[in-house]
Amino acid sequence: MTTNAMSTPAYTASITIADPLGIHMRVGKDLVRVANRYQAAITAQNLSRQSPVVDVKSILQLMQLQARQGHIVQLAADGPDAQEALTAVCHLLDALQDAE
Amino acid sequence: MTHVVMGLSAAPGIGIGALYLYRPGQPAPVAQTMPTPDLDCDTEWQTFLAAHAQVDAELAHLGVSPNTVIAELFATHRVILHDQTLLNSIRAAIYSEKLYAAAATHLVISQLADLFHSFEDEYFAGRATDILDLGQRLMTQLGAALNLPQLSHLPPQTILIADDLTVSDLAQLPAGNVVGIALAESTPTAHSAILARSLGIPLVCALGPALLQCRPGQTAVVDGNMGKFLVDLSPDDIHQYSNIRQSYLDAGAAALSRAQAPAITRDGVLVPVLANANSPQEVAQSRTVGADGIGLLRTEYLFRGRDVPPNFEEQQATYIQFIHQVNRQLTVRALDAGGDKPVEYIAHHREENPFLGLRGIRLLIAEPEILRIQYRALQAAAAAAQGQVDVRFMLPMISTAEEIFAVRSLLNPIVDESNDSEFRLPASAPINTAPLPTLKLGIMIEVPSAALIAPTLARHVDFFSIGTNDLAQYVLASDRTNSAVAKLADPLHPAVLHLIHQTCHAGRDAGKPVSLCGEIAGDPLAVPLLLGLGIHELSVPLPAVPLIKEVVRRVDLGECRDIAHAALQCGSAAAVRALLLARPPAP
Repeated sequence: MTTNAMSTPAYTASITIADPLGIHMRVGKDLVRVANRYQAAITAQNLSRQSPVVDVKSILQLMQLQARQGHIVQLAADGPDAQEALTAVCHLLDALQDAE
Repeated sequence: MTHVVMGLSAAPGIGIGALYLYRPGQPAPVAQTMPTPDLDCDTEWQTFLAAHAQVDAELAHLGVSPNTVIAELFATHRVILHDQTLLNSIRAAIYSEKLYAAAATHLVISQLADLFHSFEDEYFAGRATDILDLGQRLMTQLGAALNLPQLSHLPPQTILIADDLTVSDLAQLPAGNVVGIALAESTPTAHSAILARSLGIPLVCALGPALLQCRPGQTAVVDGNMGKFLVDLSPDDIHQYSNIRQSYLDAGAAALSRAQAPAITRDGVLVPVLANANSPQEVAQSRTVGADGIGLLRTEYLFRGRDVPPNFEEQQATYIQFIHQVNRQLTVRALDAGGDKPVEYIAHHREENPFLGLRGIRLLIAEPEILRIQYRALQAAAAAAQGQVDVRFMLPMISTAEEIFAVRSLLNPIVDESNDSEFRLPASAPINTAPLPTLKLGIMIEVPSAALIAPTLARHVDFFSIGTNDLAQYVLASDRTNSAVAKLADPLHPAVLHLIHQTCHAGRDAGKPVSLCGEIAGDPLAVPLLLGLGIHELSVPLPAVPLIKEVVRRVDLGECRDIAHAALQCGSAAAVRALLLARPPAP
């Protein structure tokens, strides 16, 4: 993710999906709920599938990652509370998988 | 010539009706979606928002379903309904494409469903069904239904056949109209099977792809008791099966009328028949069906779908309510979570094989606070019951004696703490107030090692409960959720029966009761065998209680032991089944 002069620095994290079911509907629902607590824009891309970059605040977009166990997902957050947002999203995924 | 297809029994009962073939996933033909240049976009957007609010209220209402599977599904649909991607696309279709609200909704839903259908991953592609479901609700509110297979409008006396059904497919079935379901795929442990059982619809699965070649409209039979599907029936066969079905129903009605009486064998032995419960609603119904109590309360529903575990007060209140609702016994199983059924706030690490991983008691020992609070809450609730109900605490997935020692040392301080501030009674309380009772502590026997060392384990616990679903899957090394091998995990396999027999032996020698809480306990055919192997108590799916009580009343334990003896000599599950079927009907 690029950072321009208008915005705060973007934060990124790369994680390997460990949940045997991947980012399935129920986990996705929780991710969306957490992501929407923050002002920051939060995006994700499934590097293993070369998926489009999607908005983590949208369940319909999250499902487009088709993220399965073992896939590498790149997360990025940009905005005033970007760091907290990214931490929260990673934390939720950590609750189900160990980030690498 | 009657054609019989053998599958797996997934929900009991017998259904006879006209075949309806369900092929979901075909995109709906596009309705008239002509742009209207002078469209009043604001009005259309308001029309859409009104429909959106209606659907939201509808889903909120459905989300309080007593059926937890259905409740979770509709909660998810609600999240999709409020998705910004969906709302922005529909708004754009109205304002930029100049489409009426219904046309805009149809366009966006169709595009999203097409996109999901195109996914290479089956699970995610399957989510198209959820989008179409939701689209249909919106379209109905907007006065136009999508052209989808209408499961909600199936006529009475329908036998539904499909490759597989989602929970949302089942949730929309009109009550009472579908009398049987036959599936080419799926397994008896799939959500669809669990839901069919709770809806009382006979279901047979794993019938193979040829099923979908059956001619729709013809009469067919789903025999959920025997795992059979019958088509191309002669009038004689239809008549004969109608009689079988009627006597099954009559037996059920007769059993229900006697459900409140105890189940005593012909030779005078009382066999407690308890119910398994997954939800507060099932606990509340247990007296109605005549259950002698709850023999297995699965508490996962209390712990899932939330950010933090339920605290002491919440659990105590829940258990007190349950104690008031049951007849004589409440056996609470400690949280049974793991990689295959995660809870949100417990860190699960990547596991290649979650069924052999950190689950059940292994996870609880790693998270002792959850175990302590659950035990403490049940203990406090039991104190309030004043001994009128037999309250028990049961540990899942025990594989070694050390696990029991670990749990005892984790829980023991609680007994000593029973005079601490949290439980201290007001000064006016009678001086001879008894300390909190020590709960009966038992274990699930579902890992082969536990059955093999049952004599040792029996010395350290108050009761055993055999979980035949997991025991069969571990003994026969076959994943019961994988339709390719699920048939192998047959609890009637002699290998499983030998372990049940040994466990009962160990329990009897130590004077500890042995119950059985797998699905097999609810199979009338298997009950004499189980009692013959030495099972003291049966814990069965809620609707099966009256019938199982009736079966118990007809058996003689001496005869049961003869059956068990013969079954233990059999070489296969098929031979055991044949033996049970050949048995003359009880007087």
